[in-house]
Amino acid sequence: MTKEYRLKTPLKKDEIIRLNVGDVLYVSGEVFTSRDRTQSLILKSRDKLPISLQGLIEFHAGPIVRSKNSGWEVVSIGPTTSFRMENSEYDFIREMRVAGVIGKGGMGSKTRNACKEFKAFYGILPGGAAAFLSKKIERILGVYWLEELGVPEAMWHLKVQDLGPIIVAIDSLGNDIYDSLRERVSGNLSRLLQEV
Amino acid sequence: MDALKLRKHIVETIRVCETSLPNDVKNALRRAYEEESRELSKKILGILRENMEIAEKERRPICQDTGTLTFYVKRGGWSEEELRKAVNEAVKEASGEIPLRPNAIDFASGRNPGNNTGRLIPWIVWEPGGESLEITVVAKGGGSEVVSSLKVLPATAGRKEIFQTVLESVAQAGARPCPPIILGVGIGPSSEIALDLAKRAVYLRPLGIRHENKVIAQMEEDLLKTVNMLDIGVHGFGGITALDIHIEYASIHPSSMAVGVVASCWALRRAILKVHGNSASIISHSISLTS
Repeated sequence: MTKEYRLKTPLKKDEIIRLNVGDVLYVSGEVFTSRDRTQSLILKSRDKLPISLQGLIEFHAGPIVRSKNSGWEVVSIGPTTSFRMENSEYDFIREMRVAGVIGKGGMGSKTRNACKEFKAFYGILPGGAAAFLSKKIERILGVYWLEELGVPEAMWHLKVQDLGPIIVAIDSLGNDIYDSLRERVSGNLSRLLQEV
Repeated sequence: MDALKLRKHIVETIRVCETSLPNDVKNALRRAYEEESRELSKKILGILRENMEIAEKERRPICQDTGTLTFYVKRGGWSEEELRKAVNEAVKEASGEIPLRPNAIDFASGRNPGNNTGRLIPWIVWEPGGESLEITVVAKGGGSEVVSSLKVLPATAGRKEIFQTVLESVAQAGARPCPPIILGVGIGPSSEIALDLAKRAVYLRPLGIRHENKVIAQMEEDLLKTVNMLDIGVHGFGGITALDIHIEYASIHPSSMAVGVVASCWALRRAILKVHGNSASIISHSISLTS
């Protein structure tokens, strides 16, 4: 039976442990975007980061923003393919103590191990629903490495309200929703290759 | 029509392309939502529909990946030089105005000019014919592009091998191209012809329209059913995997048959601007542009 939760960051360990694959979350509080080159810059500067990422949620995303008054506003935002970050995600979860990671498409065994060892989760957000998701961003709290990385890859620190639906794809026991899905599709594929 | 006005119309066509789906795609998604029975997949399809409404109403990009812009142009009396300039300037303007994500990066220098123009980009394809100017704008995101595939089969290959090639490509892509996808299959004598046809199959023929050749039309129907039996579904949660499949073909070589497979995510973004004399309209969305 899948459950629905509304959670606030920073997430507590017992809130994370309660989550099972297939559960649906809506998160309020603080998240930050991070992808490709962002992760390695965050890790490199971990001792002098302007904000603590502990208990927050890492969002694999590259938003569209526009300048507004003296700051920025999110126009469209949505998840990017998470698997590109698979190689660095274990270290990232271990070092930054994030509560969870959200993106799309699923992760591999390294992220699964990190979720298990450090009690975190991986969740997915609907892809291509960027106008819908932009309504969940209350405001931009800060932006880092904008000059260096450009808009899509900079680290955007965001205040969100009911960001979701996030579907838990890897839970803190290391269960992965995509295991059964991959099995189903590869079973269908071998059958269909014979039949056609 | 003068060049300045044309540029404004192209900017508006890019905006429409990025913020609202053409009628055929909207209808296909509506049908998918009604037919889908898996709980999670239906929930997400419902959100995609809501997203579509917000994007159109507030004129925000449907997806944060506003893609690489390709223009298929029937010149209708305009010169290539005039049109290239109008298109390039329009893309720059649209990038700041809509705004679009800066997606054009110069590979050699690593530099991103920030306005979606650069070496050979935006990509313009000059099409034959057309008494009046017609510009089809297509925006293709990276997520669905990384799963494009090409396989060159021996010419003795038939329907069975083509089906197998497509099935393997779609299964390999899995949830990455944001299913339910729209699939284009191009068959031809060589690699570039197959891929060009595959891309045209996805973007230039409206959903629900079958190939004029009956054999190919039947293949499209059967392949659509077969691909949906893979049961990948929205984000891999099972259910409807492809909204439609189009096949385009060219005569093959006696020893080789290239099969290109190109997917679009569910948000197939295409808008067609038609200019006749002084009047213009975006015919894909039934929008008349008054001057």
